[in-house]
Amino acid sequence: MTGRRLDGTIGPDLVVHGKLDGKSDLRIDGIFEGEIDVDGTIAVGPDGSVTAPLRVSALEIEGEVRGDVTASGGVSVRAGGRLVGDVRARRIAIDDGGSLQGGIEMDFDDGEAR
Amino acid sequence: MSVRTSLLPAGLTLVGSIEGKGDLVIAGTVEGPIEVDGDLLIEEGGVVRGDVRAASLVIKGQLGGDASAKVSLRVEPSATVVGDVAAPRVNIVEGARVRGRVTMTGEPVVPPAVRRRRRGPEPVPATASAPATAAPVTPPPSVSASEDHAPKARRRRRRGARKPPPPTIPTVPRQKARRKDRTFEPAP
Repeated sequence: MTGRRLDGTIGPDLVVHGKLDGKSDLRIDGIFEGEIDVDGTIAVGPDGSVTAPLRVSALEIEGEVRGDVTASGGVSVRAGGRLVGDVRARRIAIDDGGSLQGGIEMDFDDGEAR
Repeated sequence: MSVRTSLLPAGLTLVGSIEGKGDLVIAGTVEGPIEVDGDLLIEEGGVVRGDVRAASLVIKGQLGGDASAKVSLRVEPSATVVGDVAAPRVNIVEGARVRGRVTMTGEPVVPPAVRRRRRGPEPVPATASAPATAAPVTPPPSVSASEDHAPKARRRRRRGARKPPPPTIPTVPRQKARRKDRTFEPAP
């Protein structure tokens, strides 16, 4: 998903409070506090900080995210990225240097694992 | 688009506030106040319901709230603004729908220089500066009209002041008139 052009951007010196919803991709390099319910990919840049419960299509974290995440697609924590909260997603990837504090729940047929 | 430019894309709705540094483009919907130290553009299709503050402000979409710019404020033809707008320079392009008070704060730096240059050749350009000031077309012309009349009145006064010496002659008909009055008065 890296290299994919994201439509929206919250710049590094911008502070956004509130509830964000709709259908679009968004890159957050600034600070967001509130709630995100977006049908699209949210990317949190290295300097980005998100404190919010997230319901998204996909989430890519290079910065810091605090809140529970629900993703219909994949969640990836890149190097330097930090996620504090429970994650529910179809796919989860944590790269070297990425950190996750919380639980993981993935939707899959667990018949064989039991 | 520079790195400092932020964009709230079409399709996204924010119920809350945005504040900080850099330029900002709103193509989606924001319900709440916005304050940035850079340029703020409300794109065509963008909607903001809340007060907005920026260094310079361009509105192409819809704004329901008061707008305040430190430098300049421009309302494009596609825009709808319901609220007061305030800035040192306010441009409202023909076609824009605006309902609210327009306040041009402070003393504009550019407009006076333009007026001085244009006053020389013709007084007409004074009305030409009207679109630069605001949509209300009627007030500026009235100002220019009064400016036109003022010098004429001065000229008349000056001419009148120079003529008084000869009027010694006109005094004769005045005396005749008085005599006629006097002659008519006692008659009845």
